[in-house]
Amino acid sequence: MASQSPPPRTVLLVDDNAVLLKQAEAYLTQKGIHVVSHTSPFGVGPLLNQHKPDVAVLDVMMPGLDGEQVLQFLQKQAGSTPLPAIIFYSAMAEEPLYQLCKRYPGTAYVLKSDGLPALHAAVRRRLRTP
Amino acid sequence: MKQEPGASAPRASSRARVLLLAVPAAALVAAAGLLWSVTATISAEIGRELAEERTHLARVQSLERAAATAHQAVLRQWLADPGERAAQRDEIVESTQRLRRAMGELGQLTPLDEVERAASARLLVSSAMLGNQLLQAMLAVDPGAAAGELQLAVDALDAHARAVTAVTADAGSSTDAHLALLRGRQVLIQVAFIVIALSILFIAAGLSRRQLRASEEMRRVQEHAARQRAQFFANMSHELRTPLVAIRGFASMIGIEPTAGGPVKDHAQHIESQAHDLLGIINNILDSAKLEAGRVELSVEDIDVAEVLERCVQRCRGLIGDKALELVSDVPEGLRARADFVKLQQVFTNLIGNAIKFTEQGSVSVRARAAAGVVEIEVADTGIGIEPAVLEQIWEPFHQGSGDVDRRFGGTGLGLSIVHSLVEMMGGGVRVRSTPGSGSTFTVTLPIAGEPVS
Repeated sequence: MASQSPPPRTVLLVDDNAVLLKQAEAYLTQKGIHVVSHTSPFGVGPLLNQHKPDVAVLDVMMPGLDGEQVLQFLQKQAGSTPLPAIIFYSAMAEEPLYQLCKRYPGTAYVLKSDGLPALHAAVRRRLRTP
Repeated sequence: MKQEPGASAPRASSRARVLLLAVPAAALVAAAGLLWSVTATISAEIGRELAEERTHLARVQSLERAAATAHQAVLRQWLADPGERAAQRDEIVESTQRLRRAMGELGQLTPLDEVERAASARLLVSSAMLGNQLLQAMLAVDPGAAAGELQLAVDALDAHARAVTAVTADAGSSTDAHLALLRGRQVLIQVAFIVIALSILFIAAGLSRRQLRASEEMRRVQEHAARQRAQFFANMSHELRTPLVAIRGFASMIGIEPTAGGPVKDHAQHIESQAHDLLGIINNILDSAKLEAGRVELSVEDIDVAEVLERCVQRCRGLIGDKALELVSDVPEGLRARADFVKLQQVFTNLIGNAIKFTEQGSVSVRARAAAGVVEIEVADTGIGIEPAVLEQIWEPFHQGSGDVDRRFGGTGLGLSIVHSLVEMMGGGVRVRSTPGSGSTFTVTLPIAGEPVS
């Protein structure tokens, strides 16, 4: 793949599965994206302030929080900082993710089962269209 | 999870509730009808009895009056004209016999009750006594003494006539009493009817309330079980996918790892495609189970056909691997169909995935067009094709071309049965034509969306 070496953009990755988090981080980093990763939706607020990510990739079905709650929690923590573009990234069935994205226009989803290239493609799409 | 099975359960339970109410109501109506017909029969019986009694009484009275009057007239005549006594003897004898017959007839009538039976008996006795006295008087040698006797008889007869009148009045009042009694009985029966009907109503209401409670309890338990099951399915599918996602992810990473050599990348490619297959199989098994359990709920909307097919093509592109295979897509912009977005992706991911799986070289092409109120989407391949003998069976679950196809290509044989079920649920259809050795074409038709995209 011919890299056009775009200006480094920041992606915030949030996933409680450490293996998948590391994997996605390594893959996207390899693809030239600056990644900030975090294993919990708690404590995301300071990261949003500090790194001002362009895209946040959020795992859905983390313990005790469904996609909607994760999003609301993020909004609460962000305070006045505008939220980045949201991509839900989940090993859930597709239907609930599709419905979640319909309820929150501007969000997108990627099935974990579609693989890392699919995540990369979605992140790139988001970075191109701010 | 959104895909709760709850929505169909309340429909079913409201049907059950209607049934639960309908059954006691029908029983109640039937019981009321039965009671009403019984009461009506009894009322009719009572009416008939009353009419019979009135007729009976009238006959008794008229017989008594006729007999007494005839007898009295004859006696008076005899007393008034002693010279004609001998000539009138036969007439008197005959009149007496008539009286006796009348008395006998009276006696044969079925008395109505104690009062009337007693009155009849008194009449019979006194009439008989009168007859005897009359005969004795006639046969007496001394007409003077006979005249005295007869005068006594006439007095007795007068008394008898008065007694008859009294008895008649008596009988009348007793009939009134009897009528009142019968009416009372009728009212009693009606009251009993109302009481019984009300009790049945209360019992039925209580029963149906209890049944309702029981059925609601059952529905709650079933819904809880269904929720649990849905949650279990969701968790299990999540748990099954997660490690596979990790395996596939590592394979992808080896694929882009600069230090990895060619053979290693080949292995990684195989790991990735195998993991992808396994994820597909897991999805199909879970979907098939859901379809079988009737727990698939569609959310049909106007969807952009090109968007769905593009996603499917992207999803399946990785399956081509190193095959000399071209995956082409020719879908006009703005074509919209009525379908479930996610389920339609599943349909075409299965169809395109199958086409790639069974085609070694050539092409897999996806085309769509609007035709006569429907959207037609075609997935055509240049693969091994399907034998005509098995063409009809491919929509059945667990079915693949043949045992040989099974062994060569693997898979669950669930994909096409899922495709068929989902397309039909969306109000569309799917058909196939195939030539063994040169390829297959699957055509899905879907209802076209009301308005084209602007």
